Amino acid sequence: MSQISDREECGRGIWDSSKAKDPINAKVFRDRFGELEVSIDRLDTADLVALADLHDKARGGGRFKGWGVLTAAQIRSASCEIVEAPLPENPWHANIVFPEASKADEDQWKQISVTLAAMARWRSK
Amino acid sequence: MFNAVLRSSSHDSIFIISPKSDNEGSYRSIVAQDQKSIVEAATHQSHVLDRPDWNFDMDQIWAELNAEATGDGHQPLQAGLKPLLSLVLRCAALQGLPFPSISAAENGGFEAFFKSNERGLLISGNSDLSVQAFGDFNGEIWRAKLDRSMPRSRPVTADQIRWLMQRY
Repeated sequence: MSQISDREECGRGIWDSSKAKDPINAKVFRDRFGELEVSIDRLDTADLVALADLHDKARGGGRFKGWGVLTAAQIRSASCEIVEAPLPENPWHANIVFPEASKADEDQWKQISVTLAAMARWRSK
Repeated sequence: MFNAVLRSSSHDSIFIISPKSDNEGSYRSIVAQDQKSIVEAATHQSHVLDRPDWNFDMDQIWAELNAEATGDGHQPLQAGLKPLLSLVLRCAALQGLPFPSISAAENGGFEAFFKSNERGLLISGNSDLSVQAFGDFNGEIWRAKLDRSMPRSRPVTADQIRWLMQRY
């Protein structure tokens, strides 16, 4: 059972400057087709400066720009689950988990990303 | 049945999936009615594109999308999609949609995502030149596909693109 409350704000990291603005591109909320988990950060509990610094170092190329932000309730309203998944270097890490059926249904997979993007808002680091 | 196959009067095939609710039994279908060419309208109303949000350089957008695709390790965009993307943008301008976030898709296609308040509309141009739309209008989700693989199919028309947008 997830301990993340409905009110908690979670952010999907964005490095690409062309996507670092509203509207948040639906592609931001997808990884490869067939993968159900999408990494996010729990922004309400995170040290945002430390988190941005961590993300800057994580990808050698582009600098971290910010997040596409949703509440946990919004994520759940898109038929997704949200689960805590702390990492040694990022204790605020969590995953959006897409419905199992979207693993083999590319249209449903895209549809969910549209639903998430329709609710998301840009937040600079 | 999850989807329905309809035909517009121009005989292009249209797949429509438009749920009223989570109940699969309550899906409904809609078909385009208006046959007036939006391209002709665009020719006469090109001043709409002068609005600040709608100043765009198609060549530059296309180059940026190809750079994105290459940078992500994906194939370049299918060249035949360039006029389709231009058509999508012109139709969107005439429909009064906000300028979209455009990205390269993994398969040589493009995606244009429009958002206003909590309404989202994704127009996806695929490498086989088919077009898909994914909408979420404050929780009402719907999908449509213009599929050229069906018999008597023809290139996607401006009327069809406008139809995809008209409920936005």
